[in-house]
Amino acid sequence: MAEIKVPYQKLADEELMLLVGKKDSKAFEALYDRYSRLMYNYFHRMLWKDKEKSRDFTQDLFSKLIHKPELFNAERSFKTWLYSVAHNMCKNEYAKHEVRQSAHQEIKSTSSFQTESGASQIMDRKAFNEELEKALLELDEVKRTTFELRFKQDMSIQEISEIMECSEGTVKSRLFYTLKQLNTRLKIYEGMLGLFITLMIGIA
Amino acid sequence: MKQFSKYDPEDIESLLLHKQFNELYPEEKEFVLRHLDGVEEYESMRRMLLELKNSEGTDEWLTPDPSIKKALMAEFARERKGRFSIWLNSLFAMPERPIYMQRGVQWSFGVALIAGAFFLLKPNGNQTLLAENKKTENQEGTSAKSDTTQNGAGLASTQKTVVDTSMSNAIPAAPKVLAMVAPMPAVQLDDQVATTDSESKKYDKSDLPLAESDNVSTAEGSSTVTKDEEVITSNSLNNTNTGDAVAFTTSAAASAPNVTFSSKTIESFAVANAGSMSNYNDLLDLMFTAK
Repeated sequence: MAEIKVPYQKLADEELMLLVGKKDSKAFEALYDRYSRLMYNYFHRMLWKDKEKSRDFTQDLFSKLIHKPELFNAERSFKTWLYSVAHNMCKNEYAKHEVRQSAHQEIKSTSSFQTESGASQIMDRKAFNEELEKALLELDEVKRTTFELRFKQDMSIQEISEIMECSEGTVKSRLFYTLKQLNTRLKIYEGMLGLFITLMIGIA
Repeated sequence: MKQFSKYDPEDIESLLLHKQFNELYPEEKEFVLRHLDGVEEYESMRRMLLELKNSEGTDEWLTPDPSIKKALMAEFARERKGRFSIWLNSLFAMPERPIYMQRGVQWSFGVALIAGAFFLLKPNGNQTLLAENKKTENQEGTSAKSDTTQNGAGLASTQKTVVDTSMSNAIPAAPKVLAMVAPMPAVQLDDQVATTDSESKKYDKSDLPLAESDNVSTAEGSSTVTKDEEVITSNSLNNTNTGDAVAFTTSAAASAPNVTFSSKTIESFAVANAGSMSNYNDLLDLMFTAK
């Protein structure tokens, strides 16, 4: 009798998750291959670029899929659900290490001050990214998560509202104030970047 | 104003990405200036947002360690196994429930019931078997009858005799007392014992099983020795003392009355008279005297 092969790569996330609930290891593998990189990078960005922590959190996240697949509501989007679980894990981590985080922020503000003093020497896009990363780390976790999901994970306002369990209006408002804060923070650098772009255009 | 209410900060994001300040419609400018300080801030935010969008592709994407996948797949396999164990325990190991309430027991009982019903109600197989059995019994009865006829009236008086030619060479089990009596010398075994024509047989002591057999049949019609009972035709019992050898000789005399000793009787008798016995002759003398 011919064995029926399940086209795991063609199945939707939600269908794969239902198969995971039935203990299909191939389905789990397919889901892992789709999302492991995304989630690893998300944790990496949200957890102060700590690679060890990102590794542990990625493993924990997928462990939840193995042990409690019933928590997934098939009517919801799997991607949104997965990110909401990851978001909650990060929130717990922030709460656990509140003291450490504040200490971390202190260190960052010191280092950013040092960077600011040398900002005039940085003229390329890579430097902008570095500066942006530092500015993001100074944000509170809610704004940082909103920004991360919107601009790094490329999610819609609706998805972010589902993940963060708040209204779409709240998400929009948070995004706006985050951009405003970043703009203020990067103003000095922004002037240099503008000059750099003008110069490049002139040369071209 | 109603038109402006459709805008919200996210729309500013869209405006920032797609339009310069001087490209905005008047109502859009009005909306933007409600949230931002002025044209300068608008342009500044626009540059930053564009830079953000441009830098998306240049971000370094890390790849998770393959060991994570390996560990997770192993965890998945363990989870599968674990679920099976839990299921198995739910069948048989539920101490809080009485035994008849346990699912495994209930299922086993159900299966046993169905299997039992199937074998009991199966119609054809059993009938065939019964018919065959009957036939076999009839055949055996006939052969026994013919053997009896050949032996004359020898077996007529002994209803307990079982004719079985296949057992013709078998030696009847000796009663316990024989084993208990003083050491016996080697006994010759006459070949005639095994033949159907022979009317006498001799027992070799070494061939006499010391432990009683359940049911041993001797040659045709002469005697039957069972665990608890031994039948010997009295008038044919000749004691032949041959020095070293002692032989029992039994004959199938049809008219002879039977003298029956139970093995228990012999045993108790032997024990009681152990001091006065030196060999079988003594034992037999004593027994017949006592009888």
